[in-house]
Parts: sequence; C-alpha cells; structure tokens
Amino acid sequence: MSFSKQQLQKFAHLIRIEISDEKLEKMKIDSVIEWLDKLQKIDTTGVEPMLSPVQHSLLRRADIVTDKNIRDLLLKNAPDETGKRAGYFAVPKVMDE
Amino acid sequence: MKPENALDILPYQKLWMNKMNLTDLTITEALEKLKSGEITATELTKAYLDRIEKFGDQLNCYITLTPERALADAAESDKRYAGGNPLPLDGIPIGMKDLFATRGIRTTAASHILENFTPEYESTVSQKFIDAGTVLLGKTNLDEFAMGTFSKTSFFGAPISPYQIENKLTAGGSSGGTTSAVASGLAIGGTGTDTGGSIRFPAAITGLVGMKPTYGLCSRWGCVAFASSLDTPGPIARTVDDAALLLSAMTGYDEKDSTSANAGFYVKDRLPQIGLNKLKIGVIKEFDDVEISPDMKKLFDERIENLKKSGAEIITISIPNILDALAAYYIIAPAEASSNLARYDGMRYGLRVEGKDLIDTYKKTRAAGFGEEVQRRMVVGTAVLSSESYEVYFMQAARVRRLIADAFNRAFEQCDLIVCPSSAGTALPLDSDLSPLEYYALDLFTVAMNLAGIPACSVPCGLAENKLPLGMQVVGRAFDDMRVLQLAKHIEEFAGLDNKPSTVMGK
Repeated sequence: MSFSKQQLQKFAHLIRIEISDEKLEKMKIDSVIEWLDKLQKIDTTGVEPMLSPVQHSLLRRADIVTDKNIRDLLLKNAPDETGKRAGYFAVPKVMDE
Repeated sequence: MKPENALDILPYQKLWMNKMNLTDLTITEALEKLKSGEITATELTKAYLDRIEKFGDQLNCYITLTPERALADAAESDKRYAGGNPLPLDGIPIGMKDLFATRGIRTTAASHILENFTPEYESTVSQKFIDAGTVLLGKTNLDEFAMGTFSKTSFFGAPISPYQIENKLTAGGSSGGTTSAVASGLAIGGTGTDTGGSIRFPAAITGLVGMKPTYGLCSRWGCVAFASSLDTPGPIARTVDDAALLLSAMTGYDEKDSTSANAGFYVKDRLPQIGLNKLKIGVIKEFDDVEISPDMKKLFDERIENLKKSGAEIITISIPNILDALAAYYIIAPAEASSNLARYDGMRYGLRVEGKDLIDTYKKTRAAGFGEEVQRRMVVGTAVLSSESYEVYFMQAARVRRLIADAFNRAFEQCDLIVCPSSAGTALPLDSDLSPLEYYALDLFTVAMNLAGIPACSVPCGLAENKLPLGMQVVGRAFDDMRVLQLAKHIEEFAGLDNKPSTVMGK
C-alpha cells in the first residue's frame, strides 16, 4: 500500500504534529510502509490476532479513591504559570465566540 | 616492613584498597566487601562519583547526575551495615535509565518535550531499588522515548562506548546510557527497558549482560510508555550473577500495572548452578540464512561446541516466521507508540509552544517537542491504524505475532532453552549513516522475543578480531527466567571475557 502526500498530511494532522511536506518526504515513510508490505504474503487464515503476551486474566480492584488532595502536586509541572498560581491548568480557548 | 600483629594489617589493607579499583568490583564482590566491612558504601559511591567526574562528559552516559542523593543514600546504607541489618543490595551504586520516573528528579525520556519534567511520583521499579538499598548515581541517557538502536535520537546527544573510545563507537540503544556507564565503570549496574532489543543489543556490543525478563515480571508503572504490550524493564550488569541480583530486586506483582504477573524471581548472593548434562538446547534454523559477521559465527559456533562438550544436547528447531518478526514489530510498536504519545499535549506538563488556537498549540508543541524518529514512527503508527489499513497492516501483524509466539511454544516442547546471536556484528561508529530501514534491521535477532513476551538474556560470547565484544542470547519459555540466566552463566564462563572497566578503558 502506498500513501499520497495528502494522506500522510492527514495522519500528521490526526496526531497533531506540524510537519512540512519537505520534512515528510525526507522521513521516507513510504519506504518503511513498502517494506511492511512483506507481511501480506503470509497466510494467517484462521489465526487469532495476538494483542498482548499477558496470559493471566487481568485483576480488578475495588472502585475506590486511592489518592486525594494532590492538586498542587499535579500542577507542579503545568506549563502555564498564571493558571498554576490560580490553582488550575490554563489552556488555550477551546470554544468559538 | 612486616606487620607485628593482626591489627597492624588494617592500615596496609586500607592502602591497598585505595590502590585497587573499587569500580572494577562486581556487585557480588562489592556486597561481600560491604558486608565484611572491608569497604563502606560511601567509599564505593565516592569512587564512582570520582570516575564520573573524570569520564562522564566524554561518554555522555548520564542525562542527570544525582551526586548529593548518591552520597545520602550511601550514608544511609553505611548506617544499616553498622547496625547489622543491611538490605539486599545495600550500598550498590546504580544508573537508572531516564525512562523511569523518579520523584523530585528530572525524568526526560531523552525528549525535548519532557526536558524539564520532574515527576512527583516514583516508578515501581525505581522504588524497588530504593527499597533494596541501592545508591542512585543518576539518570542514564537513551534514545528519545526508547526509539532507536544507537541512542543517538536522544535530545541530549548520544552516549558512546568506552571500547576504543577514540573511534567514537555506539554504546547501542535504546539503553545505551546504561551500557556506556556500566561498561566504563561509571555505574556498577543499571536498568534498561527492552521493547524490541533495547537491553540486549546495547549490552551485546559493550561486553555486558542484558536481561529482558518475561513480559509482566517487572512492573511498567511509572516507566514512560513506548509500546505497552512489548515494553519490558530489566537489568544490565557486568556479570550474569549481577544481573540476577538486580533482577531479584525488580520483580513482583504490582497492583498499579494490571499486566504485571503474580510471579517473582529471587536469588540470594549468586545463581544456583545448573548442570548442562541432558539439557536440550535449540538453535533456530531460520537464523542460519541471515548474514552475520564471520566473527559472530565463529564465536557462536565455539560456544555451541563448549556446550556440547559439557553434555548439552544441541538440536535444530524452527520458528517459521521469525524473519518476519521485524516487520510485524515495526507495525505493532509504532501503532502502540502513536497512541501512547498522544498524552504529550503541552497542557498539563511538558513543553508548550503557543499557537494561534488550541489545535495549533498542540501541533507546534509536538512538532518542536518530538525528534524526527519519534515523529516518523508516529506517522507510520497512525498510517497502519487508519481505517483503510487497520486489517491489512495492524491486524495482520497481530496474527503474525501469534504465529511466532505459537512457534516458540512448539519449539519449547522439543528443547529446554534456545540460543542465538544477539547481533550480526560489533559496534558501529556513532556517525554511521544508515537509512531508517537499516537501523530497524539491527533488531532482527531480538524483536521476536518481545512479540512472544518470553525471557531472553544477552551474554558476552567473546571478542571479535577487531577486539570488540559480541554477545549471544539465551531464550526461554515464559517465566523460565531462572534457567535462562543459569545457562547464560555457563556461556559467560566459556567466553571468559575480561570486561573490567579498567581493562576496557583504563584507570
């Protein structure tokens, strides 16, 4: 399978990374994808996909609060200083006027 | 001058200790001397800090050094030794891959996006090392988000191998900071993480032991995620016994990681011996077709011969799709990474680059924060997960993964353990100009074990003609980590590689 420049730009948009066309080309994404195509020739009819090597059933725990009153700790690495001082994460405006 | 009585020997012993290289001691040896009172944790730690002072900049193996923490840890250890109740690894100075979150100590994943990130929590693995009494020397360098094989995708520049230092060879990757530090005597041992070979490949080309345990044996909690179904924390050390001691401290069920297994691993002092007589060891047929250096072939064949002579039975086994493991890996790992790295949005922590609106801020932040290889893998990961290619790429890779895991299970019905090379050849110069696919090909011998989730240990198998070390792997069934290390120990003895830091790069 090969992807057009537009498709690659769409992927870059989906993962929210600004990448110029020139840089995308330099990344040789196509040569990587082309190489991945070699898997197509393997007959996997009836094979159950393996998504994890875990063999045990995942343990559950009670749905209870395990930490609280850690607001200041969570805010310590916040990039916006003004919001941080006010006690919250400040983010760019999300809603339109 | 002859000492008059036993007490008079002490000053001489001290003098002799100063002359010997404390940084040449293995963990096993250091623990003996700490227990007997021959050395103190503070002396040992200072020896490492001095050596870091001397060689640290040149090797670039640490991103963040923690000398004050190290001396405080050592002082605590000395108190416990004096009180007669030391912890299992008390006073052992280690390097922690900078992928493990450490409370109050910057944790970068070698990425610009986390350059100034100081976690308020401690990863389970690093907490377990605190609980075992180790001394933290610093956070070791790596490929950005552990994506790479030369550690040169690091935002902080690549570490180099202490071997033939004038040639600036790679210490491997992604755990190349730890291998550089341990091989050069800037740490007695350390941690790595192995998603596709990131412990075993760097260990192999720096003459070290690198153990990728069974998936789930060590908790991933607090370890920066790359590909969650493949990521495996593990130890890097100079001897198999040392690796076993470090692993003993790292394992155990962790309720904070639902994929962690209710299993443990424990050795006291050193590994119990395993007899080679009647042990059935498999050699993977499909790897015969892979072009490897004549040195690697010769050393591998020599070690097989040693095993045979000692009574082991060598049989040929087949893992039919093992050569396709690489392509399956380079679908699954980027797919998981593209999803895992979605969290770096510049809102709650990490770098933020302001844009004209929210989406633009995300895009500018992530464009500036992630390096090229990380971006490449995220685009590839998103491509293979996109609606038009999900079945063709991602699910097909997951099916090939099943075929490989099943083939290993069948192979282990015929043999106890499997051996194979760790790499095709010795360390390459850091400035080698390889294409992305040529870098990916370096993982050929290691990725299949991550796909299957089974334990694999790279152990030195000797020196090549060019005087650089090579390694081979011992692979076992899930949770057979003990026998993997026990066989590795035999190979270590056969190879007899002198990997003392003073031999590798001088005093």
